[in-house]
Amino acid sequence: MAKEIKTTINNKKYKIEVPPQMTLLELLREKLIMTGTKEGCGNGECGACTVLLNDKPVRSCIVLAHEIEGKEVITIEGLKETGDFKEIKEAFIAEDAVQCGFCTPGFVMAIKALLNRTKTPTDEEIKEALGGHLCRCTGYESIHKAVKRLVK
Amino acid sequence: MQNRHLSLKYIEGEFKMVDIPQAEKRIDLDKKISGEAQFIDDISFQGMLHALVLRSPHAHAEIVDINLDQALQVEGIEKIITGQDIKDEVINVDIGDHRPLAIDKVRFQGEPVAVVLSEDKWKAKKALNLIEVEYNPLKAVMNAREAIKEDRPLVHENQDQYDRHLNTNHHPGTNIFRHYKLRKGNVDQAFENADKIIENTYDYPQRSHTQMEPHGAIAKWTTDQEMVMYASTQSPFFVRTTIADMFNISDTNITVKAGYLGGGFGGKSDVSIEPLTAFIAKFVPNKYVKLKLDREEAFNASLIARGAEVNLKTAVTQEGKILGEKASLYFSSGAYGSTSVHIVTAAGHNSSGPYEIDNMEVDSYGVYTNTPPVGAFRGYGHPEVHWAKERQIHLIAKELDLNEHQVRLKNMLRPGSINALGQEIEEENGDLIGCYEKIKKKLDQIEIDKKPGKVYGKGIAAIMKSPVMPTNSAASATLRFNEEGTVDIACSGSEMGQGTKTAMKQIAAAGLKLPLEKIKIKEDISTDNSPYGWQTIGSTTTWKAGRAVMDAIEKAIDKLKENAELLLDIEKDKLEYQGEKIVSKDDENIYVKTEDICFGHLSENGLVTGEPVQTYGTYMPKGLTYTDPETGQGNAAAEWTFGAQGVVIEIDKETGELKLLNMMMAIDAGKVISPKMARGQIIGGMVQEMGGALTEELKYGKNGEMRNNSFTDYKIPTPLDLYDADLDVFFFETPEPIGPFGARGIAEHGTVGITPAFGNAISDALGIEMFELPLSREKIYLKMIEEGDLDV
Repeated sequence: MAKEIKTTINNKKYKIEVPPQMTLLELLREKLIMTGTKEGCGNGECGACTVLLNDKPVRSCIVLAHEIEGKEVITIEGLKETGDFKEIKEAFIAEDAVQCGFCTPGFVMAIKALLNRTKTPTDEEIKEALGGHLCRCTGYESIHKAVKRLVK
Repeated sequence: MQNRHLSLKYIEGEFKMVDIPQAEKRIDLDKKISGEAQFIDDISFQGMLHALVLRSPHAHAEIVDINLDQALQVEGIEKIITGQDIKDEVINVDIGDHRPLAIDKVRFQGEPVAVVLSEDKWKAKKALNLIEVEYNPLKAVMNAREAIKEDRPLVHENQDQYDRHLNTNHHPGTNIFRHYKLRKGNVDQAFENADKIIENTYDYPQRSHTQMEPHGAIAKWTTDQEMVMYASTQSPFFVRTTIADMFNISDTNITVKAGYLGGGFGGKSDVSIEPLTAFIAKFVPNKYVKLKLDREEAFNASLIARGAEVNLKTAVTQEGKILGEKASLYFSSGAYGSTSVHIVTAAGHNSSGPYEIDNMEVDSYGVYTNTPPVGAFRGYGHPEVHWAKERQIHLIAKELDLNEHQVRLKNMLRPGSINALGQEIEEENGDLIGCYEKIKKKLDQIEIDKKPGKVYGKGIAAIMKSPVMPTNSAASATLRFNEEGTVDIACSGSEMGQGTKTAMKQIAAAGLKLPLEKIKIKEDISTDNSPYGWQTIGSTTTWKAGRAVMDAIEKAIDKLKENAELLLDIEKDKLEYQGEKIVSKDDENIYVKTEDICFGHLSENGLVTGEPVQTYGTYMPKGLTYTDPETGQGNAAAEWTFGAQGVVIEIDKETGELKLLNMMMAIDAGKVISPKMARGQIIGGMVQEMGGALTEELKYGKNGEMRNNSFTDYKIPTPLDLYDADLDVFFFETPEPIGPFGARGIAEHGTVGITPAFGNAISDALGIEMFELPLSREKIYLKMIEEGDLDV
């Protein structure tokens, strides 16, 4: 049975009906038409669908929509209005860290979550933040360089 | 090269350029980083139906019965389509062996058996689960070795009856649908004269492209003869013509639109799911139908990659000179052969590697197997044979107790050499030896910080690559000056991350001598009004579509001069085009601004002089021919690119765990259009192939079911594999006479020699020789035990 939940997405309050089997990713993409969050695998394995749930990065394809009841979600659509996004973007431009761009919003969300935790992450912390994100184009070098540029 | 149309105007004279203008960022970066770029699954329409596909659980089985009764009871189901609905629709890329859905039997696990259409995907899923299919399982053949045996089952019983677009030299009554033969010189004589004959067999398993974006297409038939499709495709024009052929209607009745691709790598070239999407949409006229694969389907129901066993017998002298070679290549090409006919060819004549071998006998076979069909994948036959050839050279040197560099350099192609196809290599083909020496030197310079319990190795490989494609695979471009003096450029290279649109902008700005901001590249492709482009494949877009852009630019400059001639009353031969203005060669103070005449010149009294400047540029590869069916000789390759690659690795002596320390490539790019994007292409290619070297292999269970169709079970490189590695790319620039400003293709080349570089590095580190990819930790560990090198 569909259930009504109250939640905040990108600082906007929502009251939405969600069927029990609907994932957060489906809610975002199919119901709210926020298509910036991408589906790469549907199994929580690739990181393309990463969003922030109460400031922590989650794979929205394996979070059920009703789990965001009373919580705050930030997607790439919300992040892109912020100054932090501009900084991340500048770093990605400087290192040409985007190729096909399908995994990019997921990486950006992961980097934002990392910078939320610490402005001076160690190599191990960077690896932990990015390790579960897959990119098939860049070979990661440019993305790593972009992150290092941000934490310098 | 023979029959080559040489034209040096883009590297000498008027168009000679030292600096190509550099863009601050890719033209699509802002949209991609903010998630605003639309990929296929981001497109939806009101009332659109979702297509869910029931797929065969068997690798090989007869379909006895399909019962839709219960499924049709589900409320909200628009239509269920099965193979019984097929009339004479055939998908024919090169061989008409493929139907949109299985009819009487299934030939791979994942093959479409039925499709449910519904506006509600949950209802479609429910109906899908209620379809009952009775199968009679048949024995499956999972690789070429099995499939060529005497008592093997046939994947296609009557392949002789299939229409073919070209002579594939198939063997009727067998699973061999393609046989490429190359005969050059006198091989028997060479083997008689040899001091030694060295024979080895190398295995390169099947892989998955794993573009981060799974395949998708949306189709709507507006009449029973006209269809519009949106697709994540590298080949909108090729999709159009294949679908038109399938329905026996005119190409012009089909519109294919392509925007951004979330990765392609060849797996979205030719056709994959588009013919099926078109077929099912025809049953629900005037409704959009979306077919989007999930990750599991992207693994087992689109195109897969590689899959080759290569046997090399090399006749050598004591000094390491290769006198002759016999090569047998067996490709496990999957259930349908169309998308790999030319891979078999490319691999066949590239089995020489970048070496001059006077006497060659090559038999390259495309073999039907009960796996998903193999299609193009970054490198297109070249990585498969370089895995074999560059390991073979290493082993020849080891066997003869020679230095492997000397063996390579002794045999390398150089100006004046005749390659396997009978083409003469010229200076312009690039600096192979320079690239090789560069990597050798760089590897020598690297001092390894050695740790206890670890061993270290360095490996090297030389590479060559050419695009292998139909002889008439044209590219074209349009150029339009706008009233304000800006320029719109379009060409049909799909943007899949390689940066082709940005490169075209740079090429156009350089050719037109205008600032980048005056050039606008049209990004979306529609077969209705975009200039024709055969496919975005073979690292040919910068080279070939770039050339078409230059052709359009030449014509535009000519038109501008004609307009200036009318206005200035100076013959156009006496005018020089300088970008923003057109100047008299005799007096630089006499000129007209380009923006004032690009639409014809409007004088004060309203009189217009001249014409609007809008041009069309084309390029057709020159002098290509089919290869001779008996000798395999001919102009199958329009250009060559040479390079060399190297890796430095660390291996844990206890666990066999391998860690990458350095990976590098030197490549003769002709002219680097964008250093940043070019580096990104080479590194992306190297890392993608590192997956093939170390972890990636599609595995099948005993009933032929794919066992690792997820990212958990099929391991591709992750950030953790690269974070601590040092990567280097070195560009050489020997201008290529056709490419814009001398540019060659480079998008695939990073893949070509990486696997043998790893194999040779393992040999260097441990003295053990590996013949089968991937070079997994498990294999290294077991081999260490076998060889007694294990330090425990």
